[in-house]
Amino acid sequence: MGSAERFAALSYTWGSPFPPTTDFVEHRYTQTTTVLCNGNQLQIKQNLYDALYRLRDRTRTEKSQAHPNGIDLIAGVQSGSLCRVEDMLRLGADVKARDSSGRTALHLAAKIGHLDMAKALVVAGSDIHALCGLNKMPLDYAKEDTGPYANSVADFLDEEHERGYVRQRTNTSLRLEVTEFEYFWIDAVSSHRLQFQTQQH
Amino acid sequence: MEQICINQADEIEKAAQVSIMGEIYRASGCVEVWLGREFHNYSDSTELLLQGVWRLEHARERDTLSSDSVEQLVNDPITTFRQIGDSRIKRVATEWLNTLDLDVTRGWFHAPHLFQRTWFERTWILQEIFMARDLTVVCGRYIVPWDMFLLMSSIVECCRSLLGTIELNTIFPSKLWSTLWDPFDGWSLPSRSMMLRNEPKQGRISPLRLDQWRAECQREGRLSIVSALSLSRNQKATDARDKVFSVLAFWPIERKNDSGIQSIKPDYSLSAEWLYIEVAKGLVAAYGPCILSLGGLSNRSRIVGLPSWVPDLNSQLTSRLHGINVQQLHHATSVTSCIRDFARKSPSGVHITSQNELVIKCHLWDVVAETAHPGLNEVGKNLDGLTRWLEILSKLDGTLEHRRQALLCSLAERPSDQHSNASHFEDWLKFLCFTCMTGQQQVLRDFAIPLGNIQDAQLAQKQEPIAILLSRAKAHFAELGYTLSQETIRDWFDDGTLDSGVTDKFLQWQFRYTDMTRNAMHYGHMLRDINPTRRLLRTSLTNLLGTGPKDAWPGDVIVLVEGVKVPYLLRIVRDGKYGLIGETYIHGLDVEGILVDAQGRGKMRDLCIV
Repeated sequence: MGSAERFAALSYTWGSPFPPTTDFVEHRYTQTTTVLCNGNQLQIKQNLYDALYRLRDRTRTEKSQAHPNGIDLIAGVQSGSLCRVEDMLRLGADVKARDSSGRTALHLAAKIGHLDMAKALVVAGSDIHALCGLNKMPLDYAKEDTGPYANSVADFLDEEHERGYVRQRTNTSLRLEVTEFEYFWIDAVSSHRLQFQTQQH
Repeated sequence: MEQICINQADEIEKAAQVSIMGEIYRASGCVEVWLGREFHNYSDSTELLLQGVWRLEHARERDTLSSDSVEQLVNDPITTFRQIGDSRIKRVATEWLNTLDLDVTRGWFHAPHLFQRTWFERTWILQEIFMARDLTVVCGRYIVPWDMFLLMSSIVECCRSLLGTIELNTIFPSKLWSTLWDPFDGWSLPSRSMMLRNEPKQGRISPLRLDQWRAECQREGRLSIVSALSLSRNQKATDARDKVFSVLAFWPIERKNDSGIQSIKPDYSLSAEWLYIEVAKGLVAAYGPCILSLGGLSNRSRIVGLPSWVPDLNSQLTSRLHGINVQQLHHATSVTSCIRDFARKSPSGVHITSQNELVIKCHLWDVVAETAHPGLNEVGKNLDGLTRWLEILSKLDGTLEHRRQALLCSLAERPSDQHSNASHFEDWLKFLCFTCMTGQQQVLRDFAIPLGNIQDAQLAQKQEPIAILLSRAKAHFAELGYTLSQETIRDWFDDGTLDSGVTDKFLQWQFRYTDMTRNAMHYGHMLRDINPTRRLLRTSLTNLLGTGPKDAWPGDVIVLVEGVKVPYLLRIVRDGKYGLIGETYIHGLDVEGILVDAQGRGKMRDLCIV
């Protein structure tokens, strides 16, 4: 606590997080799991275990250094499935990744005229001014498209351009990491009250 | 995970740690709210709700929504969405709603599954979110920044309040609502009547309620003790003492003892009874006898040995009180400063004996002559509730207009009809009768389980044929000086209307229904916000109409307390000592005038409340 490091704190409940439900679920949330903390065994309830599991997702992003996620994202956009793209963005896929022609996922979404996808990519911090290998912006691709929804993407990108605000991927729903802080404060007051502080990888 | 330092704690250390928790959350850069996994069964619509929440981020001008817009939305979502015209926020909201499916929005009549999660109910979360600089909600793989969570909540709140009305479609044009307009689809009507019957807690969804207090707490630096305690009363804690300990972070509670003034610190060797009594003493010292409004015996399980005047912090407080204004208290800076010398001054005429009995100066004004069935927002399955009201009403003096006015004002607990409620009242009465008559008991029963507030006995009662009910309703309306038009009677009587599908007749009905519902809701929500479980009563000597808590009985004494604007109901429990039942409202009673008169004539006497 005394350390100058800034930290995030967790707010959660001990028992089942759900409204009254089946005995099976209720029972499950009364169970404890043993986790190893600093060499000490620690009993934690299921809901805290779920939370810790979610918070540890962070380790997965490190795999994206070579942007495999970004390439997957481009493939996802090409597949035309919005759900798939949303999920990838939630898994932290890199929106800056480019294909062999230097196009980002947003260039491709504009090309196929998929408005929802373009919106999701912009929310996740895609650069609307990024230039591809042909020196074209996503807006240029949108204008070239002749599909039935072509105008909507162009209008949307135009509007974004006028706002002139560049979204950072920090305070959005479409990200993987819950927090940027290195330390996490968790108060584990259950049958025994105890406190511990975790440092994530 | 590495570097975890654990302090296995005993009772003393546990208390010490509980006392610094507020500071920890205040010092943290961000508080992450863990709501649990995405779903626990197939009917849980949480995931469907959260999937597209990112769309709402297009409503932002910058990194977050401006705090002004958030505040407006949180305080009054309906008015805000009505007023903002064709703004970015509204466009984005409409777009998001159009991606949801009917099964998700249908459930909004009570509350979306997400908002029924246990996190929202816990006591300790109050300090965790009030102290937090920034908040992020995490539910399974979904992350929702706090401003987006509030925007989503206010959209949901606006929709659920307007579901079944045509206005909803003008605010958020969507195909979704067309099926929900249908008054006979078996959901809309009974759901609305259920919404009215339920306590206000269910009336507003949790995130908005919590954030309103959070904003207040952050603006003022603290909440008033009454607000703080009334908040924790409505949250759940496994340990009754946590109701007090959990608010200490935003309101330090002080007590006077031999060695001066000390603040209460978390200490698990203390009993809940002792804590509650100490808190009540502090409240009396700070606010005077008006804190009686917070106490009262009730059927709910009270902690054994707790005097009736001591607020039971372990039971919910859902009603809006007249005697003490919880909402406004912390707006008044003078109140804050006067509470600073908490426990130093002792209001005149009030003292607490060593047996924890409260002695107050008051005037025994009248006695309750008779009471109606509990429940202000319902007329009973066979209209027997309404029958009883009219029975009581017929004993009052004055003209029909006068008596009707008394009923209207008493139910709403307002001294005069400032808001031209007369037409709303009529439609409200029609609405209640209609929902009662169209016999949607099965749906009511389905709803009763999640909402848990309907009386089983009432459901078990057999319903009489609609023809009998209809003639009864007609007679009752006539008694009140209202006429049920032939058209209405035909509509209500004709089962065909209900099953005929979309015909011209049906569409006509739909429009009339919409109007009626809007008016009915206007009046009904007013009642609901006070406390719909109360009951109508008539006083004995003065023959006035009023309302009291649901535990009020004939024979209960109505007293006026020095310095308090509302009368209270008391009941003799033993040796000439009284138990407190609760606040009452008597229509046409001039409390201050009568008190001055009683004081002048020396009619004030000391009463001992145990």
